[in-house]
Amino acid sequence: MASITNIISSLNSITEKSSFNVYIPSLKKEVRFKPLSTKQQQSFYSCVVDIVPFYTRFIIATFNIISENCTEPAIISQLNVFDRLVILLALRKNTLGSSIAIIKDKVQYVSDFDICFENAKTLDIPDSKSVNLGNIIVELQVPRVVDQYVLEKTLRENVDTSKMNPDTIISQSVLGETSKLIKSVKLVQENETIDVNYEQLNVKDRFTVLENLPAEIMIEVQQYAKLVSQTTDKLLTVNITEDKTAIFDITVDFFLSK
Amino acid sequence: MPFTLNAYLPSFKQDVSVYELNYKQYRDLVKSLYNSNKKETIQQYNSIVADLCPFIKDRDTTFEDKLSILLTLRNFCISPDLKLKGTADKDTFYHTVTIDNLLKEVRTINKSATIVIDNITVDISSYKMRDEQVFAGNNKDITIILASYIDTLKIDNDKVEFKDLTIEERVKIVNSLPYALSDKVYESIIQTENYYDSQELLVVANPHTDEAVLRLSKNITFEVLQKMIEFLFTEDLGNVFRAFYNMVKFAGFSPEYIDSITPVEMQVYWMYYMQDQSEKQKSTSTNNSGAMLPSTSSPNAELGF
Repeated sequence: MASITNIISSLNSITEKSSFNVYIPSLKKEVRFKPLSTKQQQSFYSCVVDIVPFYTRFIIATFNIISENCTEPAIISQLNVFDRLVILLALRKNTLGSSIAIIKDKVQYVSDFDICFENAKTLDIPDSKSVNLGNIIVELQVPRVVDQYVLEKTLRENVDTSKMNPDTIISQSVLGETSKLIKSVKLVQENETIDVNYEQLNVKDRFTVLENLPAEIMIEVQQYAKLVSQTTDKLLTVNITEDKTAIFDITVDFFLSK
Repeated sequence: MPFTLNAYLPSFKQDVSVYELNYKQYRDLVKSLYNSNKKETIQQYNSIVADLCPFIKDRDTTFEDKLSILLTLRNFCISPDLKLKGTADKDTFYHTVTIDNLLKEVRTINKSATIVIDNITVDISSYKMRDEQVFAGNNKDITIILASYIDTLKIDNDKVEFKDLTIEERVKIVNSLPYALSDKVYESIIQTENYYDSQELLVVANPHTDEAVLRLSKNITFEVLQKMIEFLFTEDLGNVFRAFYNMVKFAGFSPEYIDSITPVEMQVYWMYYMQDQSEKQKSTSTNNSGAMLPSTSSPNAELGF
């Protein structure tokens, strides 16, 4: 009779053997991922309570899954939001298949998101962008999954967002999205550049820095955010008929139904 | 040598010996249904079932097995009929079903299956009796359902028997299963449950409209099992104590003996006693009113069966 430890160890090795390749757009290479376990699939059910505009539980759950299932843990800190989407597409395909129901103009279509893997290979990821405003230099980047995770974990994991007032929701949304797009903030004083070590700051301190930046910065940030959003749309565009396309979202529903 | 009965255990597909249910145990079963703590009631029932059916010791019996044992005990030790009282359009009506028919239906339940994916083999049967408490409180967690349904898990030559593990240990294994496998096992469970959901175990119709006012399916879930237990063992506790009291005070039996015989045997003794009293009353009707008897108009009502 096998012990629990032996059985779990056998199951783990089976899972490893069933791992599959996922093309990571930012690294331009394939990385192996283990399929979802029962526990991980179950974790999606607890994300159903997420309330728009925050997807706190889903972001935390998917980050944990990506970290646990990636066979190259060293790359986790480098992954960006596009990589995350491609990995989630691959995990979904491996468990529930690549068929997806999409509603557009009140009509439901059944499509296949296999094409997204092709989109990923040709994805034009926005380069980092440096914004100079007087003596302030802000560098923008495509948000990293680790920043997305830390922000949700720190700010909202144990908060009942349904009870938040509208002002707080708007303020947290804007600051949160902006903070993920910023890579560094530098101040130029008398020919000397001072790095505020933005990446080392905690979420609340990052917000404080953002609140003290000149308003013009936000216009640049919005433009860059639009670029990121357009790239996401390109990645998640599928055909719904021979001549129609649609963009779909990856929320928890994506993992709960075929 | 105690008298034994045969009870069919659907998950083992075999008849096993069951000791008779004595009056004390019957009283405990009725009494425990009055307990507001559901977990204690389940414990009480499972403890008595285990005492009466030594076969189930060290075996993982299912909800269907437990129901079959309880129906058998009810059939032979209490009464072969189940009389249910209902209300429709403010009228009270009665519906009687024979326990034998219920037993025949339970006998046809077979939820066992084997699922194989690559080198992993999973044997499943049904919800296990020892997990009943976990399902109290409407727990529909898929992981728990899988942990209860699975009997064995075999990977190549490594095999683990779930009956040897606690629910926590079983959940730990289920959590580690590849989702593709657990999804297939769960799908198989759902298909079987849907099949038995469509079959009727007990239906009570409104006598005026013929519409079903109660329907219990052959998919023996926690809710169905609890409802059946309520129907089988709900009794006015006052009647149960009164019957015991009458047997000791009027019929002169020792309390220990009454507690050692079955409720149906006690009912037979009471019937003989009442017949004796009736004959005595006839012969001495001119002078005496006989013993200090309880009402003789409806002896069975006092015995509560």
